[in-house]
Amino acid sequence: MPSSLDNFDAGYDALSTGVAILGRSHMGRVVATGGDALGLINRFSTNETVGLTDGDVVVTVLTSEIGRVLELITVVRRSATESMLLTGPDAEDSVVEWLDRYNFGEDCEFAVTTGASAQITISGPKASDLGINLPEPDRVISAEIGGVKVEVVAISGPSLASYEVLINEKTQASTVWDALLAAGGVPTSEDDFDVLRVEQGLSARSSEISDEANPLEAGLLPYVDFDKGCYMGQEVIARLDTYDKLQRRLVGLVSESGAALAADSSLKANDREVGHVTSAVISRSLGRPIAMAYVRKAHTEPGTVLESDNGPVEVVALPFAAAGSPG
Amino acid sequence: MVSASKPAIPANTIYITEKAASKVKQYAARDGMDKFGLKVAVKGGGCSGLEYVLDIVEGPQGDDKIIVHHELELYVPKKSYIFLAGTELDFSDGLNGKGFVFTNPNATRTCGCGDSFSA
Repeated sequence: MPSSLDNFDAGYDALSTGVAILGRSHMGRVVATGGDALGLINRFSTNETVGLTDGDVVVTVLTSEIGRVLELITVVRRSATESMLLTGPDAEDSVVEWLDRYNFGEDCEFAVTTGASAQITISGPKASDLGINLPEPDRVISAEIGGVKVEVVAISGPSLASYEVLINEKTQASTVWDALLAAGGVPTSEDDFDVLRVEQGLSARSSEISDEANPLEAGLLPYVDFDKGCYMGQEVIARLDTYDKLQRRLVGLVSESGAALAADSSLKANDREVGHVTSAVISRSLGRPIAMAYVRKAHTEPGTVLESDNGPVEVVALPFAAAGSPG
Repeated sequence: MVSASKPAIPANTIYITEKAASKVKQYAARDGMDKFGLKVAVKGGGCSGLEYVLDIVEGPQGDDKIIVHHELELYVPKKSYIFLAGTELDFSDGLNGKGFVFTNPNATRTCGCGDSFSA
């Protein structure tokens, strides 16, 4: 199954104005079974995962005791005793290990199914043109694509709105892919996805989202429930929010010279390091290099000029103006 | 000179003070329990990841470790024991009392309310 296409324009255009498909089998998938599983996840993540009904989908953030992001998880409740957890690439084993560490005889088990199953992402404003049943936002439904029974999960923002097609048998993935292709889905790539994501100022794993950031500075506020009560890291996150203690913020950058910016490069003001670039792309909609960066709060006012390795850059608010609309 | 400091709790046990043991016996008597012990355990939860669990139960379960102090049996699940070895359980009463209080040498971080800890 192809996961990318060389035609950069077609993939980006499909994501922003049509319907794009992307192989995502490398993302982590875990089946959580037992009546206590969602309760355990609830005690270790920022969003409410108890009180869901069958078919509900919720994105939550596993946090450490000091409120740092461990992993972003999509919880898909199949029934009272079974849920699917979607994680980032190579994160599923560490998620299971983390939850098992805190399971003291509760009724829950976690089984990694990444290798045996497959996943395809559908994204773009014309997803309904594919002619398959699509769920409401934050819901999962069973569907049939190319004669293969699948689950379709609708994940709403702040990540790029998408539908995740979950295929239990990996061997059936190419049948589903071919059917989506025949229905008009345009293959896209992670690079295309990344351009639209940065234009919209959305965080991604391994760039903005890491164990060096807390959920608030990483733009994950919509996934934090401040009324749910205690969970690991809650005390720190509540204090950051209540007393506005964030030391740095996520901002957009545009290059004044038009030179490309580099992820991980540092940003300076008056020869002092005040931040670093987290994601850098060439914007299709703006026609110039843009970037996202963590910058110390005192230097985040739009219009502030900072020094990068490739010359001066201007701080702008996120999302970038004139960015394409989410799918 | 005689030291007034409290002796350290051996790392291979969990200790309950006489006052705390007496309180447990009072609760058991109130509930009409003749045969009982105190389950002392931890579970995942709270701001720091681990929460204490206290429960008056009729007897041990599975591979519970049994510890006796002041004629009260403590039942400690094996996995919980790793996080509780060396802990003292006391009782703080009065208007400003906190109820049952854990002093756990394994706790590297404790949340504000004192009910949750990291180890």
